[in-house]
Amino acid sequence: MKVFRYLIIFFLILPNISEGSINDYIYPKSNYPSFSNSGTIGLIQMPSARMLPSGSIAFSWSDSDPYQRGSFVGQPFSWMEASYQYTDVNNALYSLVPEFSGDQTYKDKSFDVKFLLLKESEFIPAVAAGIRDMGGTGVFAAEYIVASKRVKNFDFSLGLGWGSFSNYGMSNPFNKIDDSFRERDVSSNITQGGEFTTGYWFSGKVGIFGGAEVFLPNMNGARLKLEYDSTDYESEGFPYGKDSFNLAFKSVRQPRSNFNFGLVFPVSDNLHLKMNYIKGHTISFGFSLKLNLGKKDPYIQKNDGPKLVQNSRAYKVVTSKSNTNLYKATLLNMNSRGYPLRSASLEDSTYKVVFSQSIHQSWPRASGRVLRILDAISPDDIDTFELGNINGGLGMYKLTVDRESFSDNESKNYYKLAARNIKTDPYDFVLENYEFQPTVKLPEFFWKVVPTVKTQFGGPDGFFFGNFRLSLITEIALKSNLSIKSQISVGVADNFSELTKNSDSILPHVRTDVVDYLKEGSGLTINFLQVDQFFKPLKNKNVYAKFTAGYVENMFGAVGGEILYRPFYSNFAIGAELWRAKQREFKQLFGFRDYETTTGHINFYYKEPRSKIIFSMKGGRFLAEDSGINFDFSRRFKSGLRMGVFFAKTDISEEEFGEGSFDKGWYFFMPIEAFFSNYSKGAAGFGLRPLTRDGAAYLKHSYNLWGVTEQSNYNNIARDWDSLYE
Amino acid sequence: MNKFSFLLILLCLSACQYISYNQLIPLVREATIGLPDIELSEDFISNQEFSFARVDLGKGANIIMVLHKIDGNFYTWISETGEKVVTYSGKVVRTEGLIHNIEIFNPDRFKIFSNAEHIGIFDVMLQDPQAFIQQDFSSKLKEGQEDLLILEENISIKVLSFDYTNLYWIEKKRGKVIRTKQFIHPKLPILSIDFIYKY
Repeated sequence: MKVFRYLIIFFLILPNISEGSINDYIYPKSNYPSFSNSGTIGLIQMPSARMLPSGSIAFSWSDSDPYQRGSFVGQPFSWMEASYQYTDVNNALYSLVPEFSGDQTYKDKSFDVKFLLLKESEFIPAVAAGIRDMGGTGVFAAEYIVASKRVKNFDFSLGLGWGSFSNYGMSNPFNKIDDSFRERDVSSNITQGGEFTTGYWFSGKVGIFGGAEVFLPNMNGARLKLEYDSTDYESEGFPYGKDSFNLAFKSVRQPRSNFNFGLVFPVSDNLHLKMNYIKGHTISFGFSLKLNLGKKDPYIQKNDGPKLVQNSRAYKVVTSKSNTNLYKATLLNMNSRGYPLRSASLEDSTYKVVFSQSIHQSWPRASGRVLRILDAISPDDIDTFELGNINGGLGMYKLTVDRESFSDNESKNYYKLAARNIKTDPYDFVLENYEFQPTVKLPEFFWKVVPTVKTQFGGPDGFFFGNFRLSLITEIALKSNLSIKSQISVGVADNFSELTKNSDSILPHVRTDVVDYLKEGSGLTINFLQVDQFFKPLKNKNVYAKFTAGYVENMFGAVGGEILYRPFYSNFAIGAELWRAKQREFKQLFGFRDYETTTGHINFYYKEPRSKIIFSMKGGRFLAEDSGINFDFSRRFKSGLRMGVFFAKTDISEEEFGEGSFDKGWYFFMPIEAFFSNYSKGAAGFGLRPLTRDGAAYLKHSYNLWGVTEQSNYNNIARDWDSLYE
Repeated sequence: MNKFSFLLILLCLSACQYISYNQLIPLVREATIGLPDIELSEDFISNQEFSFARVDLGKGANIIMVLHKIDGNFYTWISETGEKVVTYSGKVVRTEGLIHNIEIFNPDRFKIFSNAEHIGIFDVMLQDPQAFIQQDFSSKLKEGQEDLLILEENISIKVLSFDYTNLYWIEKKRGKVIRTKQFIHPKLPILSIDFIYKY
């Protein structure tokens, strides 16, 4: 009866607000779902069927004794939520060996995933199914199916849970399908952790959970939460101290109530604070921060429009008098706008121009801006522009543009019509084919100073370690396709002294000496110092090659190269790379350690055009001399955000690999321009492996050919025609 | 998402690529103290050819709008980047091109000169998202410093439980609003406008 009293009070105190769009003001931010204590979208302790918009990334943190949990959440599709949890369990030591643990408490890492099975409609709830702790030790393992329905300012959820969500469990409805669902035997799945153990999913007893999120009127999006919690706290974590597991030292208070209450207060659309009363005796709190980077220009409108040419009429009079005048006017106007002119040639009524650029992610936008310049300064008798783009001295793409069509469609932004009259082709750059070749004084020197941060998340010594650094990045261009690039950095502040864990790997220590690299490299380091030469070994064949020598990454110096075949109109590319690599000293200056090896891979890339998933495969011999394949799946969004996951299997056993069983992780690259009013190509990248091990490690050489040749692919240009006139 | 949050995230996460100082310094400045104000110095004012308004929408949004059209008490102001604001005796009654826009259907209810307390209801269409609301108002004129009067306009939007006060500084001599601070939309910060009339 107590339950019903709570429910009646809860629903009656809340006003029933009239419908209509005024609700957008009465309940602002109510379209944004909130996070549960488990780090994913949900109620308080339990999940819901709600999802973030596609292209969202988020971080959530919560403290709910005995757990402190940090979660990274990615929404690669509107129907899929993926998350990585790092949980500090305060009633257990880090390992069974107290001397090794010291004061460190148990750290659990896990992957969760949730799939939207049914979208919400007027009468049908959204339905989702999810798996918790699928890639970890199974301490929090649970599966669920949940439905959510919004009714006015109430968002109700009701679900079935297996595993640690099965308190007061009833018979499993899946028993009727197969008897194997009857018992949940987790003992057979005890491994090194990190395996996707599937044998017991949706097996055993079933618990029922549910609740509601109630949006409060005129409270800036604040919401109350109420839930019935079906977590079996006698099986989750280490509930009874040493009686649960040897490394545990304290019992966990068992719940007095299955009803939890919570309050979420949105500071902004993206930052939520929360406080909950759970289990009848515990107050928990936390926050979540999300970014929705799925769409173009998601946060800041750009005010970085094209700089139009003044006195266009006068230019045309002058440029019509001689080719030299035209070339010089082109050089002046393009270079001053950040589109360096590499060569030009006027042939009959076609004006051929070659340029490079490093401002725009969108190649049509960059090309459109160059075309506006050409249209403004070129004599009227030129009817066609042929625009060649180069990168690293190599031809990337060529646009043959009908001038009249480009010009006529500009004022109304009819980019689709203009694009119909633009022919896009692969391009081989031959300097001698052009009449005008601006003199470039070689060697050219570029440099910039940037702040950088070296980070380590989720290690055994603590959740976050960082080193704030200043980096000098330089490039000396010896030829258009030959350059020396470097990054030298110096540490300003760090907390690496608390890092203690040494490698226990039985493989060559190609990555697991990371603590030594971080600690000894906290001062002045050469991050990379390398010579790169790019070339096309075969004419007109879309084959690209690179030769590199030097200190190519923090842990290795190498000599070697890469070759890539990337057909212009296809969605795939295939290549190979071969390196002789020698391990660098921990200080990361000029010295080396004894270990050296030959490593190489066959690389295959495929971009699925509908889903925009990029699948890449790297098969061959890795740095620790193990052989196998690395698989990588990523998705690029319109804003430039890219998020992906990877995993690798090589010919070493799980025991040789060590904790984690095999290499895996995830990453994302956030476009910096999303937060500025001007365009730029930069990205802030972040990647995370649950564990750093030596197996399946490969050389991280900068300027790989897949990235360098991004625009030498028709689809990568065509995807952005909508920015032609931006 | 504000830029300060992004800065924090970036400093924690940047591992692979870089944000350069020429991007970072303005970002830090915008995140902490906002964009610099456009100063209404004598030089600046004398260099303007037409009447204009300096419109401040909080951090990072300080723009100059030029007087484009006068139609009775309706003044239309436009910015270089396409935003449009229509004022009626200094009160913003219609906007276009802002993140959130409004239109007041009965702007003539607004009076800057009234012997007693003036009360009434404004019918307002909010845009982005669209919703119709009514604003109860009461306004009262007070003496200000030197040659200024101050109109205090108390507004209540009952459905949103939102009450606030708009202020209008009126030059006695010309009877014109020369400065105002007003809420125009529930999702926008307070709007400050300085009107500079060059006629």
